[in-house]
Amino acid sequence: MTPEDAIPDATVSDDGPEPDEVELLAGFDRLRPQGGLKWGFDDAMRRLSERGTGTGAAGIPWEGLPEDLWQRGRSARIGQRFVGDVAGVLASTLAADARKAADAAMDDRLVATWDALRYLAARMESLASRVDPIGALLDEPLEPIPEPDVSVWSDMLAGWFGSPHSSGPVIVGESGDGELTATLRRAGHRVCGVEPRGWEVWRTFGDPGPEDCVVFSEVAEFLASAEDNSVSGVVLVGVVDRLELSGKLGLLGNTVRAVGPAGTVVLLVSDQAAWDENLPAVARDLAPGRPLHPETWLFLLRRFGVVDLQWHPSPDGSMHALVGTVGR
Amino acid sequence: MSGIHQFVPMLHRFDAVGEHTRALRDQLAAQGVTTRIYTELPDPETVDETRPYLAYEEEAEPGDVLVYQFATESVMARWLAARRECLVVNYHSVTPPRFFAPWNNGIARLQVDSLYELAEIGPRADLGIAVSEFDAAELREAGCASTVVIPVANVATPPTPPDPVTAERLRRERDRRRQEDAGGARWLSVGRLAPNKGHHDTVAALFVARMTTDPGARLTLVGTPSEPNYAHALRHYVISLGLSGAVDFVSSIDDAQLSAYYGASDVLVMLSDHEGFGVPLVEAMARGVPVVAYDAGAVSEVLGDAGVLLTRKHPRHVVSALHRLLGDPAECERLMAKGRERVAGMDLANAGNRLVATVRALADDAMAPGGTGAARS
Repeated sequence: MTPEDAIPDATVSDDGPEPDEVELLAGFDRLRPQGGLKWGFDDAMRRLSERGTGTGAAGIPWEGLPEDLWQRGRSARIGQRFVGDVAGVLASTLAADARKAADAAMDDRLVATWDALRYLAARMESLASRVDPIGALLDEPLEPIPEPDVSVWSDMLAGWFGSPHSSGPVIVGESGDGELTATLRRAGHRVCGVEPRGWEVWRTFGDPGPEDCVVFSEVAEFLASAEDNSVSGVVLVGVVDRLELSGKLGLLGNTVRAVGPAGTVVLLVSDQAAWDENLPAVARDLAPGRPLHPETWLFLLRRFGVVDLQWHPSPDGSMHALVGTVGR
Repeated sequence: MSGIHQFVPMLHRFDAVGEHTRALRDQLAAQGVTTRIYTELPDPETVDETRPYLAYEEEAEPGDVLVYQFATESVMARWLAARRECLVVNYHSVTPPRFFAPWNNGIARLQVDSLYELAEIGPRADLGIAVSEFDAAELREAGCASTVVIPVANVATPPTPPDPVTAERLRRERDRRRQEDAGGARWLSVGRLAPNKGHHDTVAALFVARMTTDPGARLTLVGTPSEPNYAHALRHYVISLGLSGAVDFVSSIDDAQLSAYYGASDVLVMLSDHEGFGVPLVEAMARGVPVVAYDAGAVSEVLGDAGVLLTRKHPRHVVSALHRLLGDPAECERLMAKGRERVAGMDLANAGNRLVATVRALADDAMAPGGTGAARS
């Protein structure tokens, strides 16, 4: 599927942004680093570096005892008053003093501490630069990777999820052309597709289906930021084949966390032999990851606490289904 | 002997403020004015042209006029504010920190500091020089009592002729695409890859254009990736929208090569959220390239009615405006003619002379009996 294949009717408007435009732009906003691990680390380092030049880190001055303390008379509540009025101030002062004392004691060792932090920062930069060696090498994504054909499992998918839950939506990532989300929606589930390819997102919005929810995002990042137990189930397809091993493990961990106990997890994974056979040599060699064998997936799912696991072998030799429930 | 000396945090080559500073120095020197450039930090490429700012304390002369090229945070701002010489703030606009905050906390903090410094040095300045009325209003808001507007002095008028090699390469590419039946409109955006420049809005609009009205539309983004996180995200966005083959990122080119890119483009699309002036608007108008721009900062002031001014910039709205404009050759011609007229009316070729004359008049005033320079020195 190329972007040009997905051209809907030309519609231009002078009105405000349509939902598809809003999602298109939100997809870019999600790329902002603010709030991420590296962002937090860099910011903390910066605050450390700027310490002493800014206004922070000032000690809390001793405010003295409240002037009216003894005029309040003795009462049953004097203990509480003491805690609130005296101990509170004293504790703040002691904490500030302790911090000053620690800083003073650290003076000689501070340089080494800074050096260690700076090396850590450099190490972090180095690791970050290795996250996407293929992406850094190539100007274009590995588009020859074929779209997985999920149609063989479409009819069975709703059955694996049972009756609709009220606890949260079922997440389908990557939702592609929307076939799986439509299947689940017809079965009464609330569904949210997650799709990193903008043209697929656009096409989904272009199709009829006002109740569709499609998020323009990488699936791994979407699930990493999902709250615990916030979804009733997850279907993963495509992304599970492409990610490198550590990415696969991170994705599984976040999936189980987001689904929570008794939720359903479905993995539609490519058959290894079919993958090797169908993929162009360049994509096969340079893709960051390759499909795992279903037995490996079962092993990993079990390790992540998924129970009642079933392996549905591919009817046509292309794609297997792995189904399980997150253990309580 | 008194002089007119400039202060700039760093003097870079091929940088708008750096080139502006060097051009002003050259014009002052050509008129026999004693002039030096002082910096907070040396740039290895220009270190021979500058002196450390603290050296000025030993070199100050009664009647000196100090010109501070204000574009970013620097310890020099407060140091200059505390001095007694006649002070001119040549303001180059500070991008509001909110644009950088989600992308680069360090830059956002520097921008916050810049605004604090502006608030300190503004009231102290004897004169504020801004490149636009929009910037002059910011100066006045910061407490600068006296301001003048002099457009940028370093826009090439008439435009530099296009580099023939680049022009030929771009022409061949266009011919090849036409043969492949993919010859859509060629959009151009010029500006640093920084969050306030709104390049992501242009990319989103291109995506919608290719999905709707113009499947062969292409975009060339000319600009230095000045904010790495934003630049990286922009490339990722282009890929995730399937636009890898439709968007070209170009940087580190000279004026002649830039002219070639303008010459090979059908329209300049500028969706920036904050522009103190908008040099690409002038460059496009001068070269006869129609402009579609979002009305922010000084854009309407510079563009006037010589281009399509957008009050909103969500993708369909931008695409709609571009579709209407590019489908109407007569309107394109009309705007191109208006653009050339407008640039001619700006008299940019004399902007440098006006800037020098303004500063020299202030210097003369400072040296006159009872003038500011005499009183303070």
